[in-house]
Amino acid sequence: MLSPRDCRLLINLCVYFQKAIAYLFPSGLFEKQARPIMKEVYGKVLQLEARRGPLSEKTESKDLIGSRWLIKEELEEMLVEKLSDQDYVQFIRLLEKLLTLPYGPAEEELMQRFRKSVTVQSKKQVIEPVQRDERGMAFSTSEGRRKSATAQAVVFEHGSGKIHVNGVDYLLYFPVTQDREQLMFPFHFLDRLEKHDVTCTVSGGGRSAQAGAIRLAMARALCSFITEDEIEWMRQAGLLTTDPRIRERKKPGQEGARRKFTWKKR
Amino acid sequence: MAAPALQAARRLSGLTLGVRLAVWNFPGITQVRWSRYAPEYRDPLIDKEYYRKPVSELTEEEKYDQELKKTQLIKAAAATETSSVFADPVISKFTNMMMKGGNKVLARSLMAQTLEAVKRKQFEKYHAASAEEQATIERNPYRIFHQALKNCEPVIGLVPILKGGHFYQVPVPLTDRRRRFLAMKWMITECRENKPRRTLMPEKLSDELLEAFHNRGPVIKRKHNMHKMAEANRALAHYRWW
Repeated sequence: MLSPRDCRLLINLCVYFQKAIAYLFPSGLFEKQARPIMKEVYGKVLQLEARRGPLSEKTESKDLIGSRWLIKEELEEMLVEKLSDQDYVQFIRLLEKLLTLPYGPAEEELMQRFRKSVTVQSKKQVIEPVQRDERGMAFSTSEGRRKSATAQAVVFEHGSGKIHVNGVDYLLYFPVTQDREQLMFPFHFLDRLEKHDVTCTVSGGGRSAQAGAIRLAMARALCSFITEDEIEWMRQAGLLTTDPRIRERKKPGQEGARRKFTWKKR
Repeated sequence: MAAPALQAARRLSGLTLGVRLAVWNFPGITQVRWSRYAPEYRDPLIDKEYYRKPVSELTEEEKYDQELKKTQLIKAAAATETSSVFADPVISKFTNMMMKGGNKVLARSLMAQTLEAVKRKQFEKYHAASAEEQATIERNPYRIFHQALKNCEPVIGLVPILKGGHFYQVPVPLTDRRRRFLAMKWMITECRENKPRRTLMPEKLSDELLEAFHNRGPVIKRKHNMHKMAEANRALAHYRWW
């Protein structure tokens, strides 16, 4: 049971709290406009929208391609305060919204603070040097891997489209049509089907993995004989990427990589 | 369950260039669907014409897309895709669905024999027909295949929904992918199960494709059955909440 003195103390405390809240948060605790928001960017968005109305026109700038927004960790580092994921996502949304509005150099500068440049051309492709053999024929060598197969391909600059794998013709080494199609893929893509001779060695893996390894090796070796644009086309067609997929390991407590043991009720 | 939320989060982080979903936001749920590729890798595009287009013919959007693609990492092309004119994604998908035990060689040869059988039958009909009919007979097996599968696609499907302890078959709209899948699945099941003894798959499949092309046959009947059941269960449509 509270004494009258304690009651008076409690009431004073409540009044004291209310006065503090009224002082610190003049619009009250639950006022929407009083919530803490990313004032800078949001203020700019409101400003630009008010200046030109809610209808937005797309203005794409070329600078955007070579850079990306900062990731959450980098932003935390920059602002020296912890961010929650929702805050970060909201912030990026606001910045994207800002992009769609007509912005001037001041806003541009604001946005550049939150952008980091990324490798503009993702073609860090190592172009093999062209070598010459005893007869003076130009060729280039390259390696390729797929699953556990490794291949080395020697592509000659001038030839008639013959492909020899481990000493035998590719028609004999790969009886399956799909594998031969894979070997022809880089040449067919660049319209150079009967213009190059290829000699390659391959070991390990299965029949499809060997074909994939040779395809990668040939595509890389071809890079020495073609233009930069064509290299970029090959990269975008997926011919110059090593396939990282390998056999998934078996896990303990399961029969295979994914298959579980038969469930028994008892 | 968490998949749509995760996909939404992925799309958001996909707005930004190459930014990974750094924190796994769903405690109590472990990620099972993962891939050896990092999430920023994009699918390759194997279309010679797309790359050979001269710069003057590109629209602003296409130019922007091209510039954007230069900064993106691309996955390796699959072992089944080529830039050949004979490569058809629908045919590849159908071949994979026909495949048993990983025997791609057999599945591919069956597919080739089927298309050959279709062509032979159409040519026989062509040579036996009169001049006016010859104009209406379709002899391209690829066109027959595509049209047949399109004719077999259902428009609406049924989904079992648990309500009050009972499973009700509720009519539900199907996505394009699901429709194509159902058409192919029905075709293959039909050819495997309702085959008279001693007929081989190519022969049966070519017959079914030609019948489906002319909008008759068991697969079309199954599609109509599905539509009728959906119509019959119309009253349960409000059980759907999406």
